[in-house]
Order: sequence, then C-alpha cells, then structure tokens
Amino acid sequence: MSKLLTVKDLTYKKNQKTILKDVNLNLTSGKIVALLGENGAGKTTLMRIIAGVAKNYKGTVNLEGATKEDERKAKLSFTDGLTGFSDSTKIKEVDRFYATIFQDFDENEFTELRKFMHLDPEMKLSQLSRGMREKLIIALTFARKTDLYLLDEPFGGIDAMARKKIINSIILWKDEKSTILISDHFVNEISSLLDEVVIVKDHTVLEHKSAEDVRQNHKTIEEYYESFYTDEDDE
Amino acid sequence: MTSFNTLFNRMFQEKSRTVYLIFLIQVFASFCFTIFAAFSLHGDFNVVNDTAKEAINPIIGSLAIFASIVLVTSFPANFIYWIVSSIRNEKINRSQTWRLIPISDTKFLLSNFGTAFLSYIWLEILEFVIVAITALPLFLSSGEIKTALGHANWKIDAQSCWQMLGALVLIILLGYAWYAIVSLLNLSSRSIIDFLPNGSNKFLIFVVRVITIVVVIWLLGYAGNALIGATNQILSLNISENMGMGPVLIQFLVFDAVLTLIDIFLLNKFVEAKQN
Repeated sequence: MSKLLTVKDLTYKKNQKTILKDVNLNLTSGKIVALLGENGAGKTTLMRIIAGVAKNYKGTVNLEGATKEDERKAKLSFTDGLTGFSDSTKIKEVDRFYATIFQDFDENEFTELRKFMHLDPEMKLSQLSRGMREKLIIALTFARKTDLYLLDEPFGGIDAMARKKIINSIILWKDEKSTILISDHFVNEISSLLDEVVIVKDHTVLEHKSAEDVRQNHKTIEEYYESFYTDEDDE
Repeated sequence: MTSFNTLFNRMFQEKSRTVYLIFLIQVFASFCFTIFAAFSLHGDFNVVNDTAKEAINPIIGSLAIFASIVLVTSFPANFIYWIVSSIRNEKINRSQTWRLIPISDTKFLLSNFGTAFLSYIWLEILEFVIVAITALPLFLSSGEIKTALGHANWKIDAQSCWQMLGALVLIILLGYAWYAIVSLLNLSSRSIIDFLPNGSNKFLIFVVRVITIVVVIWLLGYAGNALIGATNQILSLNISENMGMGPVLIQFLVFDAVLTLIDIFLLNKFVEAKQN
C-alpha cells in the first residue's frame, strides 16, 4: 500500500493553550482508520488541520505530495456541518452547490446516497432533524471522489438502526484506493470495518496500531481504547 | 482545484439573492409611498411637472412619483446593501463550508470582495432600469421636457469623457476599499482574539474589537496621509502638466493593493474557519 498522508511534528496552539503537540501520523491508501480519543483530545483539530481549515500550526502535513492547503483540499473530503448555507436552503440547492464547486463531486452517486438515506431533495435544511442532517453530510462527503475522507463524529444524531445500515454500507461507497479517517464514540459499531486504530491522548498521537494486532492482543477495539483511560478512572 | 471563475459565479449567485431581496423591499415600499402620495394629491398630478400646460394623466403622474421615490429610497437601500454585504463577506471568510473549497486564499478573498461589489453594481442597474422605465412616460408625454431635451447640448468632449471614466474608476476603488477595510478590521481582531488567552470571553472580544477599530483607523489615516504625500512628490517631480484625477486614482489603487495584501496575509496565516 502506498503512502497517503504524512503528518510530521505537528504542534497547534490556540489562545495560548496547547491543543496538539508533536503529532506524527502516517496513513496508507485503502484503509479505514479510527481516530479515538476523549472529548477535547484534539481529534477534530487534527482533522481540521489536515483539511486545511485550521491555521497557524507548526509542522508539516503532506497528502500525496500536496503540502499547500488548497492542494490538500482538492484531495480530501471532510464532513462539513453545512453552516455556510441558510436554513431555507433546499437539499437540491446544496447538491447544486457541491456539483458546481467540487470537480470530483459525482451527482449520480449523491442521488443514490440521498435515496439510501431517505432524503427528499425538496426538503429545506431547517426541516431536517439532527440525524437527517448528518445523513445528508455523509452523503455529500462520499459523493466526492477523493483519496482521503475525514469523518468527524458522523453518526452522533443518527438512530441505531440507520447507523448500522450506514456503517455496513460505507465500505461499498469508498474507492478501493481511498482511505477513511473516522473519529467516533461508537467504537463497537465501527470496529468491524476498521483496518487501523489511532489513539489521541495528552495532545498527541499516543498509539497507532493495526486493528488485527489489537484484536490479537485484546478482546475488542473498545476494550483496547478503554485501557488507555482505566488508570485515570482508578485514580 | 476550483477555478476562480467558478467560485466567482457561485458567490455572485449567493450575493445577488441579497440584492433581489433589498430591491423587492425597496420597490414595495416605493409602491406604498406612491399610493399614499396619490391619495394625498387628490388626483392633481401637476406637482410632478408644475410647468405643464395640460393636466397630467394620473397613471403617468403616479409612475413619475414612483420613479422619484425609488430614486430617493435608493440611498438608504444602497447603504443597507453595503452593511449587509460586508457582514456576509465576513461570514464567508470564516465559514468552513466556503473555506473547504480547494482554491488559494488570494483568489478566495478577491472573489469575495469582487462579487460583493459586482452585486452592488447589479443593484444600481436594477434601480436605474426601474426609474428609467417608470419616468419615461412622463418624458415622452410632456412637450416641454422633450423640447428641453432637444435643446440640451449632448456633445461630450474628450476631457469630460476622461473625467467620467476617472470618477467611475474612483467609485470602484472606493467600494473595494470599503470591503478591504471591513475585512482588515475583522481579520486582524480575530487573529488577536485567537492568540490571547481566554479568547472566548465576550468582554475581552468586545474590548479587542474596539481597540482594533481605533488602532486600524488611526493607522489607515496615517498611512493614507503618507501615501498622498509620497505620490504627490513623485508625480510632481516627473510630470508637470495637469493630470486631473490621476494622482487620486493612483493613491487609491496603492491603498487598495496594500490593504488586500494585509488581508490575504491574515486570512492565509492566522484566520481559520469557524468550527461547526
């Protein structure tokens, strides 16, 4: 598998607080990787830096040779909260925006994903529940054909049944060569998909292991993840 | 990568919605004022042309009143547009949805400023067209106005042409400067807020914003004076003849260019998209 993403000596501070320190991460093509860590660990910040929307960091981020932010943005698809649209915007208008702006946006793929998620194109964003909005975000993210997908807690508001259906389908939506980096709290539900696990703790990447190694040494990925916090709970 | 044209067209589409909304409100308000005025005049529309020898048709008179009200309301409407579009520009600068677009920050910022100004021109065109259409019947029906227009001197000499062109360029540069200054205030204060400890404190944000506005305005005044002095010195050394608006245009061009460079630097290095 070829090298896809290299994050080297990444440090990020905001309001004089260290959010990430000396982060090093290497991802290869064609993998599904979980980014695990407690709230405030820096998972979202790491994704935002990779996506090129967080600024003023030290270190380098290289996505298939692209180090400039605008070049990186063209090679990845990041779950966006759609806050740039007014509440009166219809789903079909969001679709049109994406189709115009992103050259790699596949409208047919989006239509299929939208139908799979049971989303009506005439619905306005204000009419969507949290779960429906997240389904739309997932559909938009996967309708782009990119090398890297960054999914930042994508299933939070989606009901358990739909969540399972979506998680089981993710593998079908992605290109064989593309990689998915996914941060989520529902570790057990996504564990069957995972090829690798990255643990973010104490402002840095503490561990990066293959899911197979984890399964050999631990019962489940959730237990492996929880083991990083057991000592703290005991205290 | 997204091309500049694609982004520009898309941003213009978004901003033209604001233009249509403001224009519709303006037309509706003018319509209401016209009805009110028509009732107040009790059918005597000669007020729109008090030199007319014959009685003015009520419809033509109403249309002329409507045109003059649109003309008057264009001042507050344009002012509202400038405020709304400035806020919209700054929201776009910080929007993750927009900032995820694969394009350089330079092109992004120029597209943001450019579309806001082009939308303003579009609002002006809409206002001009509706005023022209509704005022035309009065011009065509009034013998005195037709005679006056016939006697008017329509010949424009080359110097007047250049002056008009210069004024047009100056308006464009001034409009651009407005957006660049608003962005400078917002981007510089945001950079400072993100740097300071406890940056989410609302009182701190307010204080930083106020101080930034005072400092930036003082610096702009100082830099503007220095620029005027330097340009006048350079131009008076090299060119002896009267240059008309030339020096002013050059001063504004340099002023806009410097502001844009600072804005691009801040957007590129410090100001990040707002987290969803």
